[in-house]
Amino acid sequence: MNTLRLPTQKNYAARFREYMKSQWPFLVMVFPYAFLLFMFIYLPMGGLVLAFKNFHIDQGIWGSPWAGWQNFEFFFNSEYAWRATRNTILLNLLFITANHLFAIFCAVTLYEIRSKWFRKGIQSITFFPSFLSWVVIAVLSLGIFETDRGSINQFLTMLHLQKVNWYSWPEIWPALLTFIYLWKNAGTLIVIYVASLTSINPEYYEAAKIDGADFWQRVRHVTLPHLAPVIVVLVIMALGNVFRGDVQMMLAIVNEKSQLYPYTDVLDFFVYRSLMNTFDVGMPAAVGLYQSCVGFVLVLAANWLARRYQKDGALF
Amino acid sequence: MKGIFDRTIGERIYLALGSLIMILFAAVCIYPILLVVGSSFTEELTLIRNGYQIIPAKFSLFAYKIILAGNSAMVRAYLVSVIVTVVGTVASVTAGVMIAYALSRRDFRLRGFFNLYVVFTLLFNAGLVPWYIVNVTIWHLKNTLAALIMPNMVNSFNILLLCNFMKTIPEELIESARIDGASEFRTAAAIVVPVAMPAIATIGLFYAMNYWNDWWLALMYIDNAPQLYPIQYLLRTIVTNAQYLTQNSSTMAMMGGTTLPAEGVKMAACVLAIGPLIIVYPFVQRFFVRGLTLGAIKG
Repeated sequence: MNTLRLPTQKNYAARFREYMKSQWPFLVMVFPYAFLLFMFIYLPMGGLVLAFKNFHIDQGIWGSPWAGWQNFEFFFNSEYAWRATRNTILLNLLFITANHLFAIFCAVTLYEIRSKWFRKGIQSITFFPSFLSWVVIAVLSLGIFETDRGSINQFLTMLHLQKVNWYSWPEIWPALLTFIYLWKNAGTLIVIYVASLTSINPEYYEAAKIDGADFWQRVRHVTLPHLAPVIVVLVIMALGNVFRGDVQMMLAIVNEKSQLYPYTDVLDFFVYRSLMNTFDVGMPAAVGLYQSCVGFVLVLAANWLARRYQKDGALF
Repeated sequence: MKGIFDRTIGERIYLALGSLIMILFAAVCIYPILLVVGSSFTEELTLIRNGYQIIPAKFSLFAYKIILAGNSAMVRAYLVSVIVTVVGTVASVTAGVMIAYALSRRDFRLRGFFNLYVVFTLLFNAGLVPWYIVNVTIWHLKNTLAALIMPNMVNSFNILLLCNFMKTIPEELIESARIDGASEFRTAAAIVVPVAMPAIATIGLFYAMNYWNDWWLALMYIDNAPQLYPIQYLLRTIVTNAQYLTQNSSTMAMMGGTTLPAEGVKMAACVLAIGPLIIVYPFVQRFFVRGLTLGAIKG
């Protein structure tokens, strides 16, 4: 067969024309977004060589001299490496745990409550804060935590108690940040969990009741098992991002209060400050590469776990 | 039907406590917003003396008058935010619908490749520094309006959400259009877009909210072009340095020799930044819920 149809130049050209005739509309449609990804994701990946360079703006990315592993050594020999890594992971674990436990509690309780008005009301109100930017939330938290004018200290003064200066008490900040994170994000998670509970077939419930199952047994044997797949997939996916800190949250709320850094400095925040405040390029690029590589492994592992647990639970 | 009377005492106590906790949490969600609104209408000296209050002890519109005076920075920032949100959302949704449609069609031979090309960006990215350096040195985004729009067009989660929705459209519907001689573009515009409208509206709102709330791009790329400050970034600038406003001549004229009500101005700027969100929230909430549910079902 092959000897009869030698792939000549003409043959290739004809096949290409044939191919393009059916495929060009797709290629045109893919192009704008694909090009944006090239501009803002793939080309910067090439810029990762900056991690191994001594960047000088006038010499450009390629012209700058090589630095070997110096940028990495500089970071990992500093006190910041361990501090930022630890804070990133611990804060994320706190956020994920608190958020999921609270949202599951709310969803399970809401499911038991008969008043539709109450269920909708709670969801609408708690969902709203997720629409606010961290800058707005920073102003709102000022209203609560500000030393002289904030609500908590007004209340304490009213009770003739000592004011609390939150900003000179770094150890409390993991708890405060967890609370603020919960404030912003719990509503989203409640919506997701309530939505997955609405798909429980009510017959399971009736059957459980007829079998004499009490409230706790229904929660344990009907509601929670039904939620379990969603919980597992969401938690695994969140764990895949445990190495990414939220730089916008820290910039808005902590910003220049460096006395809080020992408990709030996360990797992304450290990278931002190195780049924008001290104009260092090589070292934060190295930190970014370290973060991306660990993050990549974590996301792949999370996805693998999610798929093992549930066939269509994985992201890809 | 289950009434409350067939619940045991334990259940009723649990539900009462649970409801109470949720009511408290909902109150905690609203309280800071009311506090900021109340404080923004409070006269400055009262505000400093009494602290932030929901009900103004002494009512004043002075903070609003100052930040909305003439061609003030706030009015300008509103304009920038509206332009960025509208242009950004329309451009993002157009590009997103096109690639999602292509990726949802089995006839697209490079579908596998482009799917991986999109999904890979969710798994790995180079981080802040190369992104910043490339945008500044190669794309020259510093102090341009494009810097506030283009980087946020990239959101592969939204694309996959839309694509997954489009995959649920029956193949026969598309095939019949193709047999009738409709081109790919016509099929997309006349058949797929109307059917996928709920999902398109959802991702459109995701994009719009993201653009409205953005201050990060302005922080990174706008440094000596204050006329390009969007509302959220102006708010941040005022929070870190309220005196920033006194650089504006119409604001100075408005103040007429008095000192700037720094606290009130912060609060009023915050109210103006969330005002539009509060107004549209009741209308758009269900679209977001739908988007989240779509995303959650897929994982």
